[in-house]
Amino acid sequence: MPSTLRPPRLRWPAALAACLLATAAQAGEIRVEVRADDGEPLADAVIVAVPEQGGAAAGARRDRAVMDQEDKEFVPYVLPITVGTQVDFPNHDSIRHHVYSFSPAKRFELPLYIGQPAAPVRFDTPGVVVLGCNIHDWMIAYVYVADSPFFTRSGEDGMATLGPLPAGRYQVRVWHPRLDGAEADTARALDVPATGALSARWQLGLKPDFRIPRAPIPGGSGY
Amino acid sequence: MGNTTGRFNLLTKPLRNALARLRSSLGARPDGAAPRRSSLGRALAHRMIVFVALLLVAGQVLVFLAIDRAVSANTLVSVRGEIAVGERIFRRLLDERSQQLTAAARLLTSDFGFRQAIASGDQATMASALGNHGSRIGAAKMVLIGPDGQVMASAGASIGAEDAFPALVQAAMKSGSASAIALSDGRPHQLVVVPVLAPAPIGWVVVGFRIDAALAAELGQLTALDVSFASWQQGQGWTLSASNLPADAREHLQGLLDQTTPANAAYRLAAGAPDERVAAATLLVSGKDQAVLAVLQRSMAEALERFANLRTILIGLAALSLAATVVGSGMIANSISRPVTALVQFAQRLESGDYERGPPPGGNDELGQLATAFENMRLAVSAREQQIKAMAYHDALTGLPNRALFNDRLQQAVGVAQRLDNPVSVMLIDLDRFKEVNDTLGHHVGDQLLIEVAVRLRGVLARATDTAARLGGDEFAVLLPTADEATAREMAQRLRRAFTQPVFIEGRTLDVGGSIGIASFPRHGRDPHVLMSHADAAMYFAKRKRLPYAVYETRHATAMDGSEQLAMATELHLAVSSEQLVLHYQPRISLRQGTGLHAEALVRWQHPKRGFLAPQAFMPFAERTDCIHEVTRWVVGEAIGQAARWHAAGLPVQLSINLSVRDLLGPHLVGDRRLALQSHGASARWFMLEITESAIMDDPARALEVAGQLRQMGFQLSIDDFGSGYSSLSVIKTLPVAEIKIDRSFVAQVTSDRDDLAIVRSVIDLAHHLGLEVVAEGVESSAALALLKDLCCDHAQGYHVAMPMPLDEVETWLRARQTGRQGRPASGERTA
Repeated sequence: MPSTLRPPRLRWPAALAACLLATAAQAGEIRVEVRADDGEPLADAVIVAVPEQGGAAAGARRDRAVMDQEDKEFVPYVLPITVGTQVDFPNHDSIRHHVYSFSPAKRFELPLYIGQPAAPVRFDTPGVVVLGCNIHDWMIAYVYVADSPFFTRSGEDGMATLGPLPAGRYQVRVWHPRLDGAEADTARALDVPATGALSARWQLGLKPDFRIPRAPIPGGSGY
Repeated sequence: MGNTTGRFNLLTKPLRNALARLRSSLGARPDGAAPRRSSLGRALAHRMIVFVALLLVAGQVLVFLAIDRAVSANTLVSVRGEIAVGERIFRRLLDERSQQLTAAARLLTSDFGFRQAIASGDQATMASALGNHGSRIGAAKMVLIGPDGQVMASAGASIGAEDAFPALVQAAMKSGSASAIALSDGRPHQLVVVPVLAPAPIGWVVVGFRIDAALAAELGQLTALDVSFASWQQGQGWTLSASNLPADAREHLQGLLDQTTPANAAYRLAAGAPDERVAAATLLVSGKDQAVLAVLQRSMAEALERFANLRTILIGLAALSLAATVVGSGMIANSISRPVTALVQFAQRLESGDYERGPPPGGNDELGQLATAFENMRLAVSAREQQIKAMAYHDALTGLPNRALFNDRLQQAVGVAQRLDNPVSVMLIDLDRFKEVNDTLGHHVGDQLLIEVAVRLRGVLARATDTAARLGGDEFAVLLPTADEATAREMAQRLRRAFTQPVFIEGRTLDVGGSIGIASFPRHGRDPHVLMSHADAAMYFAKRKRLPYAVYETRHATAMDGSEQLAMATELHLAVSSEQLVLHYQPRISLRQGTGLHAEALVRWQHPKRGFLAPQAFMPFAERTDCIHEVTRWVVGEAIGQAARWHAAGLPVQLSINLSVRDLLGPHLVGDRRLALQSHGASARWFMLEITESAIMDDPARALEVAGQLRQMGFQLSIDDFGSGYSSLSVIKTLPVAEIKIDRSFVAQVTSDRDDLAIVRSVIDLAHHLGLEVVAEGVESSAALALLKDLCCDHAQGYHVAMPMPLDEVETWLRARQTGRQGRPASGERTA
């Protein structure tokens, strides 16, 4: 594992934004609004656009991402990445965490550690990987391994902008941790113009949130 | 009776009362009225106690029943309440248990190793992990359900569609976990479904816990109820799967359940009769083909046990208050019956005539008023009695005590005198010529005369203890307690003086005269009746002799009181007709040579009850009544007959026959004698008729006339008891008598008393000078006989000569005398 290669810390949105800004003149974009079925804005929804022409080479980019652990929580809650991205799991707490995943897309385990693990974890299979901490049951995070380089995540206002995208026809789909039903069902075919923005709106049915409440005593071992 | 009473006094009072009650209950008459009456108050008390006690018992029984009923009803209500509470607790406990089980299952499913095993996807690994972890929390069943709702693995039993519990898992998927009770393998289980979080749910584990007897027992303990779980399956009916009931109650419950269906079981069980247990039931599972019923029961008997103590306390209190009531009412009844008894005793005293003491003091209550009424009654009755007594014991005319009161006082005085050895004297006063006053001047004058006499009598009596009384008619009496004969004489003199003053009535001057008879205790008798009778005799004597007064002497005696006299008069009549009278004969001898046989006929009364009576015992009485005529007639007839027989038999006896005063004065004497002589063919010469000196002196003229007639008939006459009366020699001189008989009182002491000797000598001389023969009576010694012979007395009669003898003896005596000094020697013969 390329644990010795320590690239500069880079937050992918920033990189993406730079990229988007650089290409803004030649490409269009999709402005997405995600809402729950009760009309509330839905944050942490992942929007993925897959070009129909198949031009986009999945996993072509060698990206790195970070899943922080701060104050006994994973940050961010939902981390969309593209296939092949290596993710670091730095522990910023003063206690140890035991990060694991039983998800078929990526099963791994980072037994009790403090600070930066020796190597990042590389996610090679598209799919959803649920992260947990064996010590702190309530800690949960999702790594969405996308099979496309075009993806984004909704903010608190449920808004997200996907682009700049090369003009063309895309299959656009939305995923959320509480999504009730199959992700494929959300897919829509959208034609992205060469310039300008395209608006799209998704309203999602949600499942109950099974997030385990935090342990009442800080530092205590909750379940 | 006396015996019984005596024995009774030895018994204690309660015993006596008990005995009296017993006897009255046996129907026997009580000894007297007193015990029966005194039990009246007690009976009242008993009735009161019994009534109050019964009332109390009835009240307490009612209270007890009411309380018992209330307790039962209350218990039922409280048991129902307990069951309601228990039911809530039971539900809460089931909820809590499911939460606990959920929590335990969650803990189990969050185990990293378990999650790893589950995540492995290997069937065998998953099953073994389920089994391993299930046993940690005592689960009977562990089933792993995939996110798609399909069974992925299960512990123990094989995987079956029925293990999917789709509804339950659906519920868990919605709310994170779920729990329910359901039948599994035909048994009720508590099922919990929890997610396997990694950390998002990767599957669901169904954990089943068996509902068994241990759970029922635990729940039973917590709810304080009997807890049973019954399961029902289509086609199989009810099965009692878990219960903490005892075996018999379990069967009973099974029986109840068998009559129900899941739809109505809860209602039917709760509404059932609370015979032994009150029940409530909750349907925990209700499905088309299965049901689980929780039955909560509470035993009535156990619930009522709490009140057993209350019952004991109630009974104790009842007994205590009953005892207190009996004692209290006994005391109250006693406080009522005691005054009642005292009043009864007071009334008994009144009945017996004791008016001295008042009733027992009473309070202001009704009994006090009764006592006051009794007191008023006592005073009224007492006053009336005094009045009646005054009327009954006093003579209305003179105001003097009457005969009854006089007798009463005499009785008392004699009684006192007997104890203190005092004398007592009585005087009887009979007014002279009172009948003439009444007849000639009228009764009103007679009455005034009597009043005046009473006034004078009172005036004479000096001492308060002396009593003057009017006995009736013109008869008065004076009682002189402690006065002896001498004092009585003095008193008689004073009375005499008081009576010498004439009485002025209606312009007339009347002389008051009276005859007084005196008798003294103890000299003249120790009995009041005897005293009165003797005073009467003395008074009669005084009247006869025209004396101012006479003190009783034995010769006055009648020895009989009025009632005896009446009885004797009847008896004497009977005696004459039924031959109770016999004649005895006392021979006399001649102190000179050659004179014939002579005897005196003396009457004897063979009284059926009193035996042989001498003439002194009844002749004085007979002489005062007409009886004497009958007696004399019989005596004379008998004597004449006997004389005739003797003469016929060759015994020429001359018989002396006594005649009384009344005989002498009676109209028939002469005619009767003549008839008697003729009927027996007797000669008057055979008889000597003896007349007492006093008889002659009572009416000398009549005596002379009759004596002349008798003498003419041929009878010889004799003056009896010569010297005892106050004969006038001139009368004797004129009488055609042949002899005189010297009174025995002179003859008895003729040998020792010079005066008597002088009298006897003078009488003999006097008689001889008058040509009369002399008979000495009462010759009781040979010395007297010799002396009389020396004094030239002609005949001697007395015990020394011969006793009075019955007929056969005197005949023998006479024959011996006749046949020349043979047979029985006579004393007279020895001296002759």
